[in-house]
Order: sequence, then structure tokens, then C-alpha cells
Amino acid sequence: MTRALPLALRRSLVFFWLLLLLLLALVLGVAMGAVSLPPGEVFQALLGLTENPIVTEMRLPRVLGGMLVGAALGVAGASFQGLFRNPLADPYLMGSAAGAAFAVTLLASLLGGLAPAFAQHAIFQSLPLPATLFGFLGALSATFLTLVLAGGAARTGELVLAGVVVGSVLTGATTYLMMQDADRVRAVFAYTLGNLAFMGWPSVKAMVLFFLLALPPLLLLGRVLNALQLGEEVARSMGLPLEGLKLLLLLAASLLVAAAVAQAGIIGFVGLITPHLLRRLLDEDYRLLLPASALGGAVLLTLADLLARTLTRPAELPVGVVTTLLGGPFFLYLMWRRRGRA
Amino acid sequence: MEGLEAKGIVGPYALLGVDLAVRPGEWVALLGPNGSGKSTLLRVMAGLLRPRAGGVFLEGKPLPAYGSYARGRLLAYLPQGGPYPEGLLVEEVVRLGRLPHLGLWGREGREDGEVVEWALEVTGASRFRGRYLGSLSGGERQRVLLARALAARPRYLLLDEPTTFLDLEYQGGLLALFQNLVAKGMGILSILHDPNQAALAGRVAVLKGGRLLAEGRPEAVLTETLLQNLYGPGVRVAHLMGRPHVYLDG
Repeated sequence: MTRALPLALRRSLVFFWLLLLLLLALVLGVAMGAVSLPPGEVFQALLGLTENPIVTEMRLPRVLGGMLVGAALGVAGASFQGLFRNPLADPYLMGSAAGAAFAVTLLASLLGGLAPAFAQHAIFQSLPLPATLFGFLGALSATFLTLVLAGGAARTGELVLAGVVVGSVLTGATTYLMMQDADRVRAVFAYTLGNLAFMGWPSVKAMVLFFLLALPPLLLLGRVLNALQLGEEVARSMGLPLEGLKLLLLLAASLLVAAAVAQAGIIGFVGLITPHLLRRLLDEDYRLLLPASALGGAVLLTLADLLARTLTRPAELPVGVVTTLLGGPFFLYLMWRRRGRA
Repeated sequence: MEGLEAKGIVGPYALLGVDLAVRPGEWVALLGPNGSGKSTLLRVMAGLLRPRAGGVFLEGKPLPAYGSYARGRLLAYLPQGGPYPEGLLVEEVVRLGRLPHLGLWGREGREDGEVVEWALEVTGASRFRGRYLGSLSGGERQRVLLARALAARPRYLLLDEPTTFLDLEYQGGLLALFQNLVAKGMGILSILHDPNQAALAGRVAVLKGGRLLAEGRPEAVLTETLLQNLYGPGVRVAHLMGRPHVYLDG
């Protein structure tokens, strides 16, 4: 369809559509929910013309925070896929998200039990920075563990298998911590399933901070990710100091995963689906794919959260459940297509 | 001292003390049975593997003394097989070859564009410049990857079996391209499987069991005795138009 258009125009159109969808998702995300607001009211409140606490205190931080979480997962997914030259590498499948969730839950239980930490979502409201840093260590350790178990990143099957094993073990450990405090199982469970309900302005601020830290190196290293697709030997032969660059990419992507998980729990498949859809429109050029995955992840998660909030209205589904229900079949489709090609 | 020289290379893996040099304007073909250490030697000379003993010298200076981008501008390396970006356009793949000149953040200038055009042209890859690398046949892809290596405008080209996947027409074209590049002053070291292709090079070096078995002009090296030692008693050599032609005695 768009293949016939000149390259530059096709690429510009993709970004134009992504921005438009982002704006649409913002308005829809703020307008819809347990109580629906007319678009006019939403615009007025967004522009500060009228005061509407539902918009400014509840929905706006949730939608903006969700966009940042989605963007973080989209970029991290694209980076993992480029770094490991593996189209199925994703924060969820690599075990890093489970590692971050385990570390955050561990932190909460160390800080005087899970009950107070999760009772008022206090850990997210008051400790977004320590929670993210702790989650960062968890994400990084889990990623390394997955890589060690898989014997490197080259073999897709082993990588996914190792990631699933690491993720399951860590999720089991998280569940164990949860069970230590039966009163709060529900709240902690809602968190680990992936949930944007905990999003407030402090979380949004924390996300912005970590975004500003981790996004620039990733966006600036698109050329490195492109060169890596020719294999590590060729990339090194062209002069890239790969050891340092790969570590930097891994750290930056893990920081984004940790920031997302610390605020919103484990939200699967956004990092897998987003780059895949965009790769078809933008080619495998990571200089474009990374920023587009940020926009695409933001759109995707905001729309998924909209479903999570409205499907069973007035009750809410954890958004992680929605992304998993959408992402699981997509993953199967990818596996099936790869097998078809082999 | 001009040239790319390996001196007394011992290890890694099979290499047991190898000396080999490529001069500017010279095409050296590296021949040898599987497991003789050819690819390892090539990677050592590309600066990708460190030998346990001995060293590689580029224009008289030890290779590790070069900055990595400086090395990338002087030496280009093309492995055999290996991963490739299926979803990248051919032109973009060749552009990646400018990386040693651009570094991480340099912007492409007019000269970069011209060199990319030249590399696409001489490898015959211009025709499919707008296609995805994953959509090409093995031979077409090999030409694009060679164009990527040439786009660095290196002084020395290190190639691991560059003619694999190419049909006869393009094998011939590629070997003619090597002769052309060499005439313009490039030094080429290529591993070749086929002794008949090696016979077209200026010099042939034969590796066996990690040691250099013979080295010299093709007609001097590619003798029946040596080739039978390498590949078994069924190998015969005929001479046509002053060049050795190797065939199997059925």
C-alpha cells in the first residue's frame, strides 16, 4: 500500500499519523472511563479554562503516565531486539520486567511490610525514585541471568526459553513475598499484573526524569543498532567500540523497563508488538524505529488502558491483562510466520 | 613499510606460526582445506582476534596502535555468511559502510554519497538499491555486503570466501572487480575455496594445519603435488593459456 510512496514521504507520514493518534489517545483517554466526559469539557479542562479535578488530578496523570510507560516499553523493546539481533527479545520475554517487579516488591516488603507500601500505593507516590533504582538492579540482573542461561543472545529459541524460566521463577518469588501479607494480596497482585491505576503526578515526574536520562543515549545510538545487524564482528571491524556501547544500550533500556515497572507493574507485549508493527512501515532503520516505537508504545498502551477501564465498567481490568490478551495471539502469529519461513 | 603484515602468528585456535603480508596493489588468495586456520588468520589480520604470539602490522605500525575508526578506514572485513539486516534497504546497508568515516554521530556529506554510489555501481548492486536486503538472492546479497565493505574506501580488503553463493557470471565479474581494484592500488586478501579462482590472484598462499605450506605466484604454487597433498590423490592440474587449471580425475 504505502510502499509505492517515496521513502521520505512514507516515513514522514508514519510519524504524522503516530502524533495524530497520540493526540487522539490523549483526548479519548481523558474523556472516557467510569464517568464519560464530553470532548468540549475535556479540551477546556486540558487548556486550563475550567477546573475539573477528574481531568487534572485523576485522568490526566494516568493518561500521561501511561503514555510514558508505553513509550518506555516500546523503546526498550526495540532496543533489546536490535541489541540482541532477535525479533522476539522483549522486556517481558527476557525476564527483565519480572526482575524489576520482584525487586520493587522486595523493596516494599523490606520497608516494613507490603501492607503500608501498597495500601495507599505509597511506594509509588512517595518513593518513585528508589523504587525505580531498585527495579533497575532487578531488571539488569534478570537480563544478565537470561543471557547466561541462553548462552548468549544469538539463538532465539534458547533466549525466549531462558527468559520465560527466569521470569517464572522471579514471578514465583514475587508471589511468595505477596503471600507473606495476605491482607494486601489483592493490591500487590493488581500491581504485578500491570496496572496504571497507581499513576499520580509523582509517578509522572519520576517517569519524565528517567526518560530524560535513558532516552537520549538510545536515540543517539540508532546507527550502532543498525551496524549491529551486520553482526558484531563487522560492527567491530568498522571501528565501533562495541563493548562499551552494548553495555550503555543495555543499561539505558533496562532503566526504562525498571522505570515503567516501578510505576505500573509488569505490562507485557507492548515492547514486542510496537516495534514489529512499525518495522513494516519504517524498515529496520533503528534511527527511525526507536523514536517511532516511543510514540507507538504510548498510543498502544493508552488505548489498551482505555479498554481496561471501559470493558467491565465500572470495574477495571489491570491493563497488563489487556495487553497480554492482545499480545499473546500476536506472539503466536510471529512464531507461526517464522516457522513458515524456515 | 607498506602493507598489512602478519608476523609469527601463533594462536588463537589452529595457527602455529604464520607470516603473511599483503601489499597495496596486490591480490593475495588464501587457500587451504577446511579447518586449516584461514578464517582465523583473516580475523587476526582484521584486528578482530588477538594472537597469542606474534603481531599484525599496518603500514609498519602495530595494528592495536591504531584507533578503532582509523583501523576501520584502512581495513575492511567481509565475513563468510553471518547475520544481515533483512529489513534494511540495500542503499542503507551500503551507507553503513561509511561508519568508520562518520563515527557515531557524523552527518553524511556529498563525498559519502558519491562513495556509496561508486560502491553500488562497481558491485552491480545499483539495480536493487531500493529493495530490502532480505528479499534478495544469496548472490545479490553477497554483492551488497561487498559494496558495504567497499564503501569505507579501505586501503586493504579482507574477504572470507566472497564468491560463495555467486553464480558463474558474477563470480567472473567479482574476480574482474578485484583485479580492477588492485590495479588502482588496493590490497586484497581473500580466502577462496576454488583453486581455479585463486589462480587469478597475483599471489597464492596455502595454509594447512595452522602453518603456511606454500606461497608464491599461482603457477608456481598450484602444482599437482601440492594440491594432492591438500585435497587428495584425485586432483589433477592442466595448464591452459599459461594458467593452472585444477580438476578432479573422475
